Amino acid sequence: MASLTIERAVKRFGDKTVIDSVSFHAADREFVALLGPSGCGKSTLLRLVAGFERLDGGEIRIGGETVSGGDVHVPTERRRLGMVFQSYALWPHMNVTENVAFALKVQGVPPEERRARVARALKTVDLSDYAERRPAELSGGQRQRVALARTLATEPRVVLLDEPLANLDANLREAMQEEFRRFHSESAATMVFVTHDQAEALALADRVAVMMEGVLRQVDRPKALYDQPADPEVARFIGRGSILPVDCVGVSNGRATVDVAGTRIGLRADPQAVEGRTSICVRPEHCRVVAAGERGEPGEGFPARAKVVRFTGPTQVVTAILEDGSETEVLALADSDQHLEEGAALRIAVHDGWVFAAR
Amino acid sequence: MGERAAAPARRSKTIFSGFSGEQVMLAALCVYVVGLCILPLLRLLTEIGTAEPGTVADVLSSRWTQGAAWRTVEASLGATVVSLVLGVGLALVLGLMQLPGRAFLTFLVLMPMLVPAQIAALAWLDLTGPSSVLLGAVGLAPPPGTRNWLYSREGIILLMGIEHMPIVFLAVRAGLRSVPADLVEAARIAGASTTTVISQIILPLLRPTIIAGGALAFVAAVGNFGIPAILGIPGRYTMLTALVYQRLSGFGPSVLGEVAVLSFILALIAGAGLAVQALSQRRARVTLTIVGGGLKPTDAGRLGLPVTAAVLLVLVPASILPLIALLGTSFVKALGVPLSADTATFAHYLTVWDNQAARRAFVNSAWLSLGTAFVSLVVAVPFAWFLTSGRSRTARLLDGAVDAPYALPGIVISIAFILTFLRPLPLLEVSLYGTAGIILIAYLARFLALGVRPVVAAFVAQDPALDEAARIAGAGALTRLTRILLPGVAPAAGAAVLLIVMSAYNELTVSALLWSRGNETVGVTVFNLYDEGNTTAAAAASVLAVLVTFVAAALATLLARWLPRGVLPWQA
Repeated sequence: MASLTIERAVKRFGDKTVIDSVSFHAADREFVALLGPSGCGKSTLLRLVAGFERLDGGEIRIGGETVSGGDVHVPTERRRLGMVFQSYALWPHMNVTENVAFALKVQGVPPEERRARVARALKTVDLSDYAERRPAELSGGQRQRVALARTLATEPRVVLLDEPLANLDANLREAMQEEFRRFHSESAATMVFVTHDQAEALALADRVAVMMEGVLRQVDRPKALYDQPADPEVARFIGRGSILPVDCVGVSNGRATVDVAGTRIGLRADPQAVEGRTSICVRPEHCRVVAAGERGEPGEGFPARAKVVRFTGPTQVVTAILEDGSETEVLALADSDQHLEEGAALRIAVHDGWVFAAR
Repeated sequence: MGERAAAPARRSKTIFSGFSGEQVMLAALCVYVVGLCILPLLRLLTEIGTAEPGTVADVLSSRWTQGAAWRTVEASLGATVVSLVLGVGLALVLGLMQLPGRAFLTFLVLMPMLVPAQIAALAWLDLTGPSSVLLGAVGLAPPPGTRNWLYSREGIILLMGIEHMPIVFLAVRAGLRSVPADLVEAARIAGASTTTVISQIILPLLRPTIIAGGALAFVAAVGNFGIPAILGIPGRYTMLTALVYQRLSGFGPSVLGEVAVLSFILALIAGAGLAVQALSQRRARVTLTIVGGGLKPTDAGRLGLPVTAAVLLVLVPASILPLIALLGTSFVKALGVPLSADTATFAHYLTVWDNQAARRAFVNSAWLSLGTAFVSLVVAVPFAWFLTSGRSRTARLLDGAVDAPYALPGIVISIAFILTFLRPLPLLEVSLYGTAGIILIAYLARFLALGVRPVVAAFVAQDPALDEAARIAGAGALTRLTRILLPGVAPAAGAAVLLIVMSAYNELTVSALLWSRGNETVGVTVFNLYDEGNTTAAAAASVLAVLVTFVAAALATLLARWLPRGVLPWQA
């Protein structure tokens, strides 16, 4: 029931800056994923919001109240947050009910109301029958649901989730994703979900914030992130994008004409794209091998050379080398019955792609 | 799974296939361990089993016995409470807060461990008595002739409590490190204050660990001899260890049957503590399985300085002041004379030097402790190897036996050894009793565990792939043993030697009953000098003895870099 604002946050460990002037806003009830490779600082950012770490610069506000920044550091226990941990962090010496009730007890909720809220939370995650069990007697998925119920019961302003699915196997993970979505719609809390799994982030979140080396690279809706990546590194991280060096020869109305290895193609372009040397992002599903051998006509796609051909069933995935002397690799798809030899020349037609602003 | 289990066995077979003596070696180890660690204790049992009817009943029903047994339990429980309060408190403060000078504070906490009980008792008497150099300097010394209040149940409880506090501290500190940090973070998120986190999360999680540490402190107090002897005998608060000593030194071997029963009672009380410790230890292992990082100390902020000051307020009187008082007494011209640059004298050190028995004692303790250390090491390395390679079930059966003489009270061990070796040895027709030999073999039994544990830890920490890689590289059995396996455990072996020397050099509980004229130990000398009323010489001898311990501890600390974690009990 509160927005979360981070302004120019800075965090250093020793002389290493792990959070470098990060600004970010999550609206009330929004579900935001914080996505990035391991070691990029995303967990540190979450811990700064939680108050486990102190800011070295900037400010963090929850629902308009400054919790970190300047001389202010509201201790974690007074921030009224919820958090779901990768390890679940269930207290082993308490049973399920006691785990869920702990926060309510600490906050002085009267016993009657406490019992009702614990029961409601356990019902929501479908664990009413396990109320007396100890964490050690539960499976991984059940433990994570207890952790959710524990968070749900406190009705927190903001819920922080630190890679909550990383310890679960693939099947369970999908089921739990469903659970998180339900949890979000029922809890009315603003949620920040840290993950290194892009599929998870794209599937769950309203918006995704991509973080690399302590810097926020792009914050956008999942579809926009995929279609209009801010820079080549984001494009490589989200989906399997091939990044090709090109010459931009004309820009108009959000589209640009680029020269790829001597072939001109029109693509969607970054509003800041200008004529000159730049690069583009093309996804494999938009690149088709149109002709093998030497028969292809110019204009039917750019020339390349097959490096590796992998048969996947419905299609063949071709890793090709761009024929412009740059040795750039590009991923393309080919029909499964197309005859392709490794090392053979071929042409690749591009249906859709994204032209980056030159950097 | 199957492959992992099979691998060590395969490895071990090939290493020793070059030595046809593998079985011989194992057999010799068995004889050594059974002979030193099991047989004497069995002999103690048979002595009681075959005692004249009436002896056991007489001893058990005696007012003396019952009183001493009760006082042992009472004072040990009291001391355990003191150890728990100090140990848990200090472990929480030092384990959860990043205080300035944390390493130094930890050193102060562990200092009582480096000072043997009898010397601690002397130091405290020097600190608080009418002739206290320190109190005298500030005009707070009690008037001459005042009876020192330490000669009492409360005095014994306080000193034993401080002496064994490091045991609790170390257990709780290790426990804190195995508490997953996110359990505490989750409680913070839930809105819990620091006090709530400690009382509702940390302490309940550590309960088995705290009980186990307390039980160990209790066992140590039950077996303590130095403090009950120096404070309890004049204070008419006789505990079992002191009673055994009084009876045996007063009446000689004729009362062996009687003191056997007494030491058996002592062993039973200690055994109860050990059982509690074993059970809690197992429970501690079940409850705490660490997933994320362990608990780390956090920034103390503005509380840092006041808390450090408070900790020093406890530790300086507990750890430093008694030693300074001891040092002062060793330099003072005569008891009661204030200490200054003019009055300071080396005379008491010269007295110790001129005292033939004392000089002998320093030599005796040196060769006894070094001999014990080296023999134990020669035994410990192959024994630990048999134990960890999973090769020998026999070795694992003997594992518990190795710990028994170290865990049980030293008095029990000496009585068991007197009973076993009083009669002349078969074939040789000489008795070890009354010679230095009996002290040496009793030390060998008592301190074997100190040699085995670090070496076992080093073998466990060694990656089996190291040996496998050497095999792939074509190294033969002997080459691998000398070039790969032994260098890996060498630092731990060195630490083991130093730990044994440290413990054996100042040891009193075992040698108090086993020494004879010409075969005094440092512990016995300090005790006798004090007993004769030569307080200043006792202080001088104590200072020298403590110096040896500190040097050994410092050497071991220099080795720390190459040691597996947990080998040196005081390592932070």
